[in-house]
Formats: sequence, C-alpha cells, structure tokens
Amino acid sequence: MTATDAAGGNYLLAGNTLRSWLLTHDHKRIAILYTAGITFFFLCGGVAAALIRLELVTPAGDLMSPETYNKAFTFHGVVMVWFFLVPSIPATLGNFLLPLMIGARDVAFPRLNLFSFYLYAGGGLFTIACLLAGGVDTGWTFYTPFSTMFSNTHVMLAVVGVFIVGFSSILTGINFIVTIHTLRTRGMTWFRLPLFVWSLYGVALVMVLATPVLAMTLALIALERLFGIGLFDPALGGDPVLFQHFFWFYSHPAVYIMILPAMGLVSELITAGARRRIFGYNFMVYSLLGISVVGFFVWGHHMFVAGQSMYASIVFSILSFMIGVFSAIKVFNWTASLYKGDITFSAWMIYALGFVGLFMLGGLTGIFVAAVALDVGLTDTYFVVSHFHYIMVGGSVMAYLGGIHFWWPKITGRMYPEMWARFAAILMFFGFNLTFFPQYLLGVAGMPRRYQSYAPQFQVLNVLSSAGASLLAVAYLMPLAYLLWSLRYGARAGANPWRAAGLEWKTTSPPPVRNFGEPPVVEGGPYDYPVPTAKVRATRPEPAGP
Amino acid sequence: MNARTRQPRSHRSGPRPPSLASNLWALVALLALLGLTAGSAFIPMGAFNTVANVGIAVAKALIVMIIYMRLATDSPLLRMVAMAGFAWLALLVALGLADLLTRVPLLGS
Repeated sequence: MTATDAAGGNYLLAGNTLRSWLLTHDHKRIAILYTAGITFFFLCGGVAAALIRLELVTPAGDLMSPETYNKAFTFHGVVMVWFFLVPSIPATLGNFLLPLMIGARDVAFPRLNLFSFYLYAGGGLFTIACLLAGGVDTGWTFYTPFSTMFSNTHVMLAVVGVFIVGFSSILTGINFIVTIHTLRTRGMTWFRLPLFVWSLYGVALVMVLATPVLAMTLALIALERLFGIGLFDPALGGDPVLFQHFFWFYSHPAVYIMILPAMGLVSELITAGARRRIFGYNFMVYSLLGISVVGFFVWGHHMFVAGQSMYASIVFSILSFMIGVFSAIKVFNWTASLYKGDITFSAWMIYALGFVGLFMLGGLTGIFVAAVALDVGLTDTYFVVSHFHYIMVGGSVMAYLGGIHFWWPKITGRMYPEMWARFAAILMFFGFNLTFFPQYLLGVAGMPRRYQSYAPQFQVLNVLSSAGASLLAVAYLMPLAYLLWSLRYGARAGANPWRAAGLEWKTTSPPPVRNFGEPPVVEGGPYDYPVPTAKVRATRPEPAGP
Repeated sequence: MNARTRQPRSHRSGPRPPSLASNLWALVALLALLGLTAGSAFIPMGAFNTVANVGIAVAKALIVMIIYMRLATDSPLLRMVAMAGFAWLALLVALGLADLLTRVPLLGS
C-alpha cells in the first residue's frame, strides 16, 4: 500500500457520483465547487461588462435604454464584487491550500465549509432571480435614498442575495481563523507560516469583523424600504449619510478582502519564480496585518463629497495615506525578492509580475483620490473606475489566475500548455492596460461614470477602452479553454513540477483525501530556497509542456 | 503551546452550558425588556426617554453576553474575541460620530 492509498487515495477519484461531490466534506472538493461557482459568475459579470463597453463605443446611447444601462452596470458590480472577487481567492485556492500549507488533514469545520458553499450558491440564486425578474438599477452600492425610496426595480431580491452570501463569507472566515490557530502541524510556528496563510488569516479577520455590518446595513435598507422606518430619510428623522458610513465600513475593508489574499498568493509565486526567500518576511507579515487593521479606519474617503464633515474628511484622508505605506512595503519587498534571483518566466510568474505593476499603478492612483482636494474633482469620474479596476481586476484577477496556473498541477495532477498560458498572460496584461488606462485620462478630462451617453470629445479614448476590453475577453476565455483541455490531454504532473518550497508540494499531485500519509514535521522557515549558484541555474528544468 | 499536543477545542470541553431553563428565562427577560422599550415610547420623559432606552439596551446586551454567549463562564480567549467585536463596533460609532458631531450647518439652514 502506498502513502497515497494510506491517506485515502487520490481525492479526485474518491467518489465519482454527483452526490459524492455535492455532499463532500473534503476542503479540496469544496474548493472545486467554489471554482465552478465563481467561474460561472465571472462569465455572467463579464457579459454585462461587454454590453457596457459595447454601448460606450459611440457617444450616443444607441444600444440600450438608460434604465437598462443602469441595470447592466449594477448587475456587473454586484456579481463581480460579491460573487466573484470576495470569494475568489479565499474560497477556491484558500480552501484548497490552507490545510495543505499548514500540514492539516482538512479545515477545522468541514461541514461548515460545505454549508458556506451552499449559502454562496443560495445567495447566487437570488441574484440570478433578480436578473431574470428584470434586474436592479441602484448600482452595486445600493445608495439611499434611491434604493429605499425611488427605485422601482428588484432591490430586495438583490439585497437578500448579498445578505445571504455575506454569511458564507463570515463562516469561511471563522473556519480559517480556527484552522490556523488549532490545526498547524508539528513545527509550523506562526513565523514559519507561508505568507499566503498569513494573508488568509488577515482576510478572515476582516471577513468576520466587517461582514456583519454589511448584513445589518442591508437589513436596515429593507426596514426603510418595506416598512417606512426612518433610518436614512431625513423627513422621517434619519440621516442620509449614515447609510454610507455603514456601507463603507464594510465595503472599504472588502477591498482588502479582495486584495490581501492576492498579495499573499503573489508572494508564493515570486519566491518560487525567482527561487529566492521573500525579502523581509517579518515586515511582509506586519504589513499584511497592518492593512487588515488600518483598512477599517479609512472608509470615510468614499464620502468626501457626500456631505461628510470636512474635519472627518481630513482625518479619513490622513488615515488613507497610511495604507499606502503598508502597500509600498509589499511592492518594495516583492521587487527586492527578485534581486539576484534565478527568475523563470512561466505563465504564473508573468501573472505575478503583471500583478505587481498593475497593483502599483492602482495603488498610486489611490493616493490621488485619498487627497481631499483632488478627490473632490475626481469623484464619480472614470478616474475612480479605472483606479479600482487596477486594484481589483489588474491586482486580484491577475493574482487569482497566476495562482490557478501555479497550483493547477497540484489540484488536477495535470500540466497546462505553457506556451498558450504565457500568450494569454501577456495578452491579458496588454488588454487590461488598453481597457483601463484610457479611463484614467477620461476621468481627468471629466467624463462622469454611470452614463450611457457622453460628449463626443471622449469617443477616441472610449473606443480604445472598448478595443482593450475585447482583447481582455479573449485573454480571459483562453485559460478557460486550455485548462479544461489539459484536464484530459495535459501531461501528468509530478508532486513538485516547479521545485517549489512549501508543504503542499511534499504530497502527491493530486493530493490524497487526507492530504498527507503521515503528518509532516516542519523544521525550517518558509521559502527554503537554495542560494542561486551557477550549478543550480544550469540544472533548472524548463516548465513541462503538455 | 506545543504543536504536537494542540487539539481543536469545542464548547463541550469547556464549562457546562446554561440549562434549558436558563435559556428560556433569558428569553423571557429579553421579551419583557422589549416590552419596556416599546412602552417607554408612550411615556413622555423628555431626555430621560433616551437614557431609559439606552439602559434597557445595555441590560439586553448583558443578558445575551452572559447567558447566550457564555462570556462569564467560558475561556478568556472567547472573552477576548467578544471584546474585539465590541472594539470594532466602538470604532464604527466613534468615527461615525466624528463626522456627525463636526458637521458645519449649511448657510440658511
């Protein structure tokens, strides 16, 4: 009997029935269920984005009515934020890798893990029902008074969907925190944890502390909309800015729910791609935790022109600049980790390097909009749209896809076609910049967001942006095609095709049901890569092709 | 803690949970306090309405924390986690009030 057999055998072959997948308690299978779910919602949100960019090719609103356009960007936002970006890395790669990386057999609460997935699916059903019923037009932020008093679209269906999916987030967060505290294998001390695990810990804290406030806020929308209880309507004794305080208390940290796991993930990719230890491990840990905590202090920068007191705005502005310090530590340390590295340009490394560049551009423009005086002019322009897409799409999605490629051999036991993957990664980088860099210029020129028609002088940049979106769509569809192809035709992967450090590479590909034959013992720090020498460089293998 | 001996802990290994009777009495007390809150709306006491309602709310929160969340009898770690939750809530209230209390009235309003 092999060690794999002793640990339950290949998890992919542990049951072939639909029931064995839908009722599984195995964190690896649940991660795959989530992957299927978020891919579906990514495609749904992508279709809405394509319609928006198609409409904006010409200055006139000639493809859809203003109401339909409002519904398209709302659907795009709701789906991409809550059903793709928030669960993307934690629920898929996080679920799959966390127990493997700390030498555990599973997460602390396997049943709760499955329940989280079904809450996610249930929330998704409400959102799809909302779309089929005619959609919602409030924007993904559900701002009052429009959402509570004036919108005659299906606000409540969307709100209930997001409310439910929030609980999925909370339960995943609780599961991760308890898992990291209680299930680390022998020798896996806190400061031997891979940075991806630290990032999951930070994001789990944010999920648990922030998401209940979102649930409460959405419940308050329901109270005012359905029962006329005066919470946000001044005529009924409410405060119109209160909604935005509550909403952004969750939704700004939610940005870090989306980007923190990406930061941890990219740290794994860069160290493996450069065969170097991470530069300044402790500072990377403290900056991850710093972003998690200080990220809660900055929500008011979304409200500089919403009627918020100017004194509060100044405080929020200063606190927002602090986030830039933690982010800069990470960018400098990733760059320093490459120094004298034996760098490979595998597809996943191209994604990781792309992430660093795009995140830096998104982060720097974040400093622009953190400054009150600049933000007053830039609020609600395409500058803001571009800024957050550089962080969330250029950052999180690039990292997610990099991670999917890096751990694909581990997850499926198959190699993906390297050349196609490199081509897709490069195309995605150019497509992304062509889509969103013109939007910075449009924003500076004063083009407002959320309009389906615009002044003719903005057309050239809009056409460029829509052309970039076409490239981006092709680049996103390519991995879907070749990764599915590789499931059947890809070359068999060994346990550690990238010669990467980390416990997950010490078990078979795909891992057995219980992850390890014997619980591994950790005797050193993470990223235990050898110092590069001429000999190592000479023997470095090329990434295996199909 | 030695990683070798670390085991997941559950409530079952901690102090005895409150009995069904305690839980039901807590529920009755909460409903009675809810009635008081609603009733106080019909008694004009000026500023003391707010004081009374905040007092009732604190009493409700204490019942939930002591009986339902078992903060009085369970491990210090659980109390720390609960305190973190309250600290975060205080953060929301404090920075929210930082806006509300420093707003300058618009001209003419």
